[in-house]
Amino acid sequence: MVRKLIKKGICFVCLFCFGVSAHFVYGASDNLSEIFKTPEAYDGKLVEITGEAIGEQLKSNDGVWINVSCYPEAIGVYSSDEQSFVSIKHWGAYGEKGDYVTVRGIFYKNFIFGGASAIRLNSFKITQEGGKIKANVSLLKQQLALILFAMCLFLGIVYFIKNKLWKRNLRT
Amino acid sequence: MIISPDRKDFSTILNILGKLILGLSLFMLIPLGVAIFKKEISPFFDFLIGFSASACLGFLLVIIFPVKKEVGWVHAFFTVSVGWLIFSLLGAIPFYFSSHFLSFIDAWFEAMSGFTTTGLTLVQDLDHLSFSHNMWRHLTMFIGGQGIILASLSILTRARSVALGFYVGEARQEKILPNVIDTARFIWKVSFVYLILGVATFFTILFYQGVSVSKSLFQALWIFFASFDTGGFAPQSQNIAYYHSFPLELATVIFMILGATNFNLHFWIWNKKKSEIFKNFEIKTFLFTLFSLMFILYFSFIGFGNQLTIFRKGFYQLISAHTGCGFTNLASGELSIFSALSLLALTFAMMIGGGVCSTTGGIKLLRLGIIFKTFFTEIKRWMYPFKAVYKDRFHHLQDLILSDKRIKGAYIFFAFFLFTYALGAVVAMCFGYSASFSLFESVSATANVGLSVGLTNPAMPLTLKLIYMFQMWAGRLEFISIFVSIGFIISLFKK
Repeated sequence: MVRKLIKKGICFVCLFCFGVSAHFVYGASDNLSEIFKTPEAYDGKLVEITGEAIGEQLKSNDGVWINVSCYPEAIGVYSSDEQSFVSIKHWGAYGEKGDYVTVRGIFYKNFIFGGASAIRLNSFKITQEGGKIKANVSLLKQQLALILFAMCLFLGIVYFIKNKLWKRNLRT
Repeated sequence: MIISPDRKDFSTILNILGKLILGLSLFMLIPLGVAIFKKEISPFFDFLIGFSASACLGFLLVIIFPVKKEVGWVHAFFTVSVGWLIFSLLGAIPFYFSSHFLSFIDAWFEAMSGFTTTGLTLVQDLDHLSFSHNMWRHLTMFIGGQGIILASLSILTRARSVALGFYVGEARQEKILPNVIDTARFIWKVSFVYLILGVATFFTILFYQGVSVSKSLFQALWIFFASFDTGGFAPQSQNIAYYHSFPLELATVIFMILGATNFNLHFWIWNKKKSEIFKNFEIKTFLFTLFSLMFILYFSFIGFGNQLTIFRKGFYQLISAHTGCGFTNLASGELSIFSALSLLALTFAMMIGGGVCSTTGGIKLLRLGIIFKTFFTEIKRWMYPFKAVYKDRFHHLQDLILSDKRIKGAYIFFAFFLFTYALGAVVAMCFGYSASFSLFESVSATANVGLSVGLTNPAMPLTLKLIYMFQMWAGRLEFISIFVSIGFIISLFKK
C-alpha cells in the first residue's frame, strides 16, 4: 500500500515537473523583441527574460515597478510586494552598470492598470552583479577641448578690444 | 524686382549669425554646469568642446564681418533659415563626442530633432546617457520651441527694427503685443510661469514614486521641456512608459495641450477676456478634430481592451500626436502593430498640429479651420441667390472676415505641408518601407511630432536621415524663410 502510494507520488511529481517545464518551454523567451513583435502569442503566458535593471525602483499602483533593459528593448516588471526587488543594488544609469536579472512572470499585452505591455512578477534572481563603469577621457579629447577653449579666450579678448576701440572712435 | 545681394548683405548676415551663435554658446554653459555639478568628467569635456567651438565661430564672425547695411526682412529670413542649420550643427558637437551616436550625422539628426521640437531620436543606449547630455537634449527643445532667434531677440534691445522679420521667419504669424520684442518677452514670461508649475507638478509625482530628490528635479524639468515645448524627448529609452504612472501621463496631457495652444490665446486669457477660450476658432477646431479622431480611434480599439487601456494606449498617443509632442507610453514597437485605422487617425492628428504661434508644427488649427469654413461657405454660396454677396466670419480673438487673402494663405501652407509629407513618404517607400509606415514617419518628421513606428533608428538609410532632417527643418520654419533664402542665393547667380 505504502509502496503504491510512493510510486503514485513519484509519478505525480514527475508529471507535474514535466508539465511545468513544458509550459516554460512554450512561454519562455529570452528575446524581448520577439515578444513585442507578436504580443498576442505571449499574452497571459509565463515568460522569462534576462536583462539589466535600469533607472530605479518606482512605486505605483499599490506595488513596485522596475524596468529591465534587453537592449535595445526594455520592459516594465510589476510586483505587488514592495520588498520584491530590494536585493538589486546597482541600477543601470550613466557611469553605472545595473545588476543583470532574470525575471519570470506573466506577460500582459494590455496590463491590468492600462499603459504599456508589462510583466507581472512571479520570481526573479540576480544573475550578474553590476557596478561602476570607469569613465575614460581620451587625451585627444582633453587636448582639443583645451586648445579650443584657449582660442575662444583669445578671440573673446580680441573682440572686446575691437569693440572698445570702435566705441572710442565713435565718441571722437 | 528682386534686389540682388552683395558683399555688404552677406557681411551683415554673418555678423548677426555670429552674435546668435555666441548666444547659443552661452546656452551650452548650462549642461557644462550640470556636468560639473554631477561630476561627469567626459561630458564636461564634450561641452567644453561644444561651447568653445561655438564661441570661437561666433567671435570670428563678429570680428571679421561688420554690419554694413541696415538689416532688412530678407536678411532676417536668410539668417533664420541658415541659423537653424548652423545651430543644429554646433549643437550636435557634444552629442557626437558622447559616444552614444554612430556618426556625426546621427548626432546632427538628434540636435535638429531637438531644436525643431520633433523628438525623433537616434541616440544609442539612452538609459546610460549622462545627466548633462540629457540636459542638452531637452534644453535644445526649450530653446527651439521658444524660437532660437526669438530667444536671442528678447535679450537684444537694439534689434527692434528688424525683430518682426526674425519673428515671422521663425514661423510665427501673429504678434501678441504691438512690439515684437515685448511679444517675445511675453512668450518667455508665460513659459517661465508654466515652467514653475510644470516642474512642481512633475517633481511631486516623481518624488512620490520614489525617485531621488535631485533626479526628480532634473527629470521634472526635462519632462516639462518636452511636454510644454511639444518636443517628445524623454530621459529613458521607454519614453513616458518608463514611469508606469497614470497621474504623470495626465499631467503631461495638460502641459502638451498648453504648449499647443496659441500664445496669443494665453495672453487673452491672462490679461483680457477669459471667455475667449469658449469662442475661439482654434479651440473649436481643436475640439472638433480631436473628438472626431477619438471617435475613429475608439472604433479601431474595440475589443482591444477595457476603457482605461483605450485611454492610455489610444487617446494618449492621439493627444500626443495632435499637440505635436510625440510622447508615448507604449512599449517599443507597439505602435507598429496598431491597426491601419488607428495609424491613420494618428497620422491625421499629426498632420494638423496645434495652434499658430505655439510650439507645435503641422498645418495648424487656424489654417485647417479656415479650409473647413471655406468648404462650407462655398456650399452655402451655391445655395444662395445668384446675385447675393455672402461673407463668412469667424472669431479668433476678434471677429474676422473670411477674406480671400486668408483663404489663399491657408491653402498655400496646406499645399506646402501636403507636398512635404508626400515627399518623405515616397523616399521611404523607395527604400522598401510600407506606405502607411512611410507616411506616418514622414508626417511625424515634418509636423515635428516624434512618434515613430520604428523606421527612425541608427540603421536607417543615410538618405532617409537627411530627408527627415530637411523635413524637420522646413516644417519648423514653415517653408517661407527657406524659400526666401533659396531665392536670395539664386539671385546671386542672376547678376
